[in-house]
Formats: sequence, C-alpha cells, structure tokens
Amino acid sequence: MPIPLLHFPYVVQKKIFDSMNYCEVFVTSLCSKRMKYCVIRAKPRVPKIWYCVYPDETRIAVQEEGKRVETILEFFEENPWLSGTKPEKLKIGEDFIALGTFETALNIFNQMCLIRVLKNDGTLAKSLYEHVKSIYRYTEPCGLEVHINTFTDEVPIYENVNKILLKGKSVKLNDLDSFLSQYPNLSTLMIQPSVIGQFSDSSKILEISNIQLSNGGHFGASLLSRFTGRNIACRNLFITEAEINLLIRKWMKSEAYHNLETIHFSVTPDYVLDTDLIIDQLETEEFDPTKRPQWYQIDYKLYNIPTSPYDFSGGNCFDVIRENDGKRASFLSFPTYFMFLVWN
Amino acid sequence: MTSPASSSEVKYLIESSEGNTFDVSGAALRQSNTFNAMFLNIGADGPIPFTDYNEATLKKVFEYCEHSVNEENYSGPKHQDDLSKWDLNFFNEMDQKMFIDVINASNFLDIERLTSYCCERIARMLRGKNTQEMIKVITLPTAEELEAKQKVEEKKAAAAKKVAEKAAETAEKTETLEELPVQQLVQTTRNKLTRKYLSFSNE
Repeated sequence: MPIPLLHFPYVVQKKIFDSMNYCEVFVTSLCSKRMKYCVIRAKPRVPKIWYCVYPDETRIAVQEEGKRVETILEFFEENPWLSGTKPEKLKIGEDFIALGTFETALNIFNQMCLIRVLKNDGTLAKSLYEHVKSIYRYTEPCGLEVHINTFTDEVPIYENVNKILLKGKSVKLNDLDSFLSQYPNLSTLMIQPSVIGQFSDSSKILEISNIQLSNGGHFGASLLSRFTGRNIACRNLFITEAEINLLIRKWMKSEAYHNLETIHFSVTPDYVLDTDLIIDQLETEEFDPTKRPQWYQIDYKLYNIPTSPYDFSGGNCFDVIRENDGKRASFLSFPTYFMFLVWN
Repeated sequence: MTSPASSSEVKYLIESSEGNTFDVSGAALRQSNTFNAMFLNIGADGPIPFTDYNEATLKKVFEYCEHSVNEENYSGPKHQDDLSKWDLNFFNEMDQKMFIDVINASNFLDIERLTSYCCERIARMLRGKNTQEMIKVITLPTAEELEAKQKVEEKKAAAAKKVAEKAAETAEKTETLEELPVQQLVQTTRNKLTRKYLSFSNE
C-alpha cells in the first residue's frame, strides 16, 4: 500500500519517525534528498552514539543509559555484486557515492542494517559521520571505537567525543598522543593494544580521568605511577609489591593521587603478589562497619563492563587513612589482583 | 441539539465537506483536542463544520473515538502488537485512500491516540525494508524516474531557451525598424514594393 509520506504534515511525519527504530530512520534518510530533509527536520533523538572505525568496516552503534552498546548499522567491504541482490546507488552526505547492497537483520536486541560496499575507506567514515550527525539529535557526547590501523588519515575528527575505545595489537605512544590531542574533552579511554614508548610530562594520556588498559605491561605500571585522574583499571600489569606499597604511601601522604577514586589491576599470569610485602610498614586498619560500607559497586558505565559489587571486608582487605584530611581508602590484595578504593 | 458539553449524553452535529450533517456524542468528540480548544467551553450554535474532510472519513474517525470512550487515559504510543481485535479490524477494513484521509483528519482534530496508532502502522510498513523497497512504499520517484524527469526538464528548458532566443531576435528586428527614421523607413518599404513589382513584371 503506497503511502505519500512526504505529503503528510510535519507533526505526522515526526510521529512516524519517532515510531521507527534508529536503523529504519537511517535507511529512510537515504531514500531521497527530500526524504533526508524530512528526517533532518524531525531530528529524532538518539542516546549515546558510538562511531566504530575499522580498516574494513565502519559501524554505528547506540547505547541507552546503563545498557549495552548495540550496533544498528554496519558497512563492510565486500563486492556487492556477489551478494545475490542487485546493488543500489548509495549516496551518503555530499562526498560518498557507491554501489552497495542493503540487508536488514535482527540481532538479539534490535534491528540492524548491513550494507556491503566495494570500498570502505576514509571517505565513507567521514560522509557517514556527517550524515548521522545531521539526521539525529544527540542527547549525550559520543563514543569512538577506532582501530589503530585507521589512525592517520582515515578517521575524521569527531566532535563532542568523551569516550574512546582503541583496538589493535600495539601502538606507539607518540601516535597515541597525536591522536588524543584531537579530543580535548575526553574523559574515558580504553586501550586494547599494548603501548610502546616513554612518557613525557606533556603526554596527553596523563590528562584523562578514566583509563582502562587491556595490556598494561610496563607501560601500565609507568602510567600508574604518574596517574592524576580518577579511575584506572589495568590487566596484565608488570608491577612489584614495592611499587604498590609506594603508591599507597604517596596517597596517604597526599604526595600524589589527589583525585583518585579507584585503582584496579591484575598482574601478569606468571606473577603472584605477596600481600605482606604490599602492607609492609603501612599503618592499616581492619574493616569496621561503623566507619564505611562493606560493599562497593564500580561504575561500569565508565568502561561498559558490568561488574558485581566488591566485598571490602575479610582478611585480604585493609583500610588506610590519608594524613592531612583523614580520608579513608580500602584496598583488596589477592595473589593475582589488587584493588584500591577511596571512600567518598 | 448542540450545547456546551457537560455530560456524555450531549450530541453534537458535525458537518462534512459534502454539506451532510451527522451526530457525534460529546464524550467521543472530547477526544479531539481541536474540538476542546474551539468549542468545549463556548458551545456551538449550529453544526460544527469540519468541511475539509468527507463524511465517510469523519464517521470513521468518530467511530474510533466512540469506541475508545471507555478506554483508560492515553499514555503514549501503544505497540501495534498490543492492539485489540477491534482496533486491528478497524485498521484492516480501511483502504489506502481512507487510511490516509483518516490520518490527516485525525491529525487536524488532534486525536492523539488514533494519530499515533496510524503513524506506528506506517512505521511498521517500512520495517525491514531497504531503500528501493521503501521508495515504493512511500511513493517516492526512483533514481531512474528522477533521471527521466530531469531529462524531460532539460529538454523543456532547451526548447524554452530556443523560443526565448527567437523572441529576442524578433524583438531586435522590430527594434531596428522602430529605430529607423521615418523617411528611411518609407524608402525601405518603397524599395521592397518596387522589387516585388519588378519580379511580377519579369514573370
């Protein structure tokens, strides 16, 4: 049944777009120029948008408050003529015109649109960004998931980004610094590749409040010793008990970590932490329910990792007090992981 | 017959585009925010003219209103899957023209529930479609049609340009004739006539 959507009054058009999911709104906006302007006029609201840029695919995902990131749109590199369906002319933004095929698929939670194009390059990422920015009304700053191989010229500079997830095998600190200098409002950085290079005081990474390193290594330990942000989580960290001891001392004496809220790390699989060495000559207290809660739930929204609440009691839990203001912190020390929490 | 609505028993007369009138209960009519804003407090002396819409459309819209009088207060769009059997029948028995007229009338009368259901229904028609399929549903011209249209327009423009050029040429000639002094003009005409006369005499 044909519907003259363009002839409906604005209020009706807006209600129709509001009844569509994000993927449908996007596909509708590609139908024609007039249709695109209808969508732009209605400007449907979106929760947090994630732009995901990889060497051979570009994705757009959304994240509702407190929920998982859901992909709604995926462009991937494949000859569209081999797909079995007749390719269509795709025009996205002002610069990107190519032949591609559309496929809509239902994943577990929502509908997503798969688009095959012959070449997935920087022009597509840029045009897609401009297009998405024009049709949706952002309600939150954006997130960026980017592969290090697309670093140099492929990734457009995205506006209003507060979270970045970096993927790949290894990245040089210089490259990372020049990439991060494009995002001054960044509050959370998640790095999967191992980072190679020496710190300088002007390193951009030191300006970020929340950091997660999947491959901490020596770089993670070095970053932890200079960290000035609020939350840091690392996996596979090369760190000694003496360094952890020093870290706690510095906090207690207010020599560093003034803004710290949590430190959470696991050490490399071949290393076992000795709690006695960590608490060596530290003035610690046992858990007292009158002074602080027993359980603590880490704000998983920072890194999109749901976690269970942590039990800050028992033989592996120690409290320390900051000398100048009496602020309390607790730490959990286990053979493979360590957690430090400053109570608010 | 028509008076300020104080109870659901009150009936109002509605006038359609054909000039026909029919009754609608006050309770049903009060689902229209347009009616509430225009007539609820002041009442209406004669039939209420909704003359942009035909009788069949208005009757269909008010049929929905009459049915949903006793339903609980509207709280945002309801998913189509939650529609009752009656609602589904109501939508299914409409043809395309009627459906579009009902959306427009419902939007004009500002009946939120009905408008939202209709819009949700359209959104469902577009679900899971690619651009080409969507273009067919929302009656947009396809790329080929646009190209053909552009070619026709280009041809038209070229023809119009030719006509304009010709007109300009003619105007120029007229202008040159007008610009000639009267004596010279007389001489030119005389020469022409002489030539004509000579050509006749030669024959």
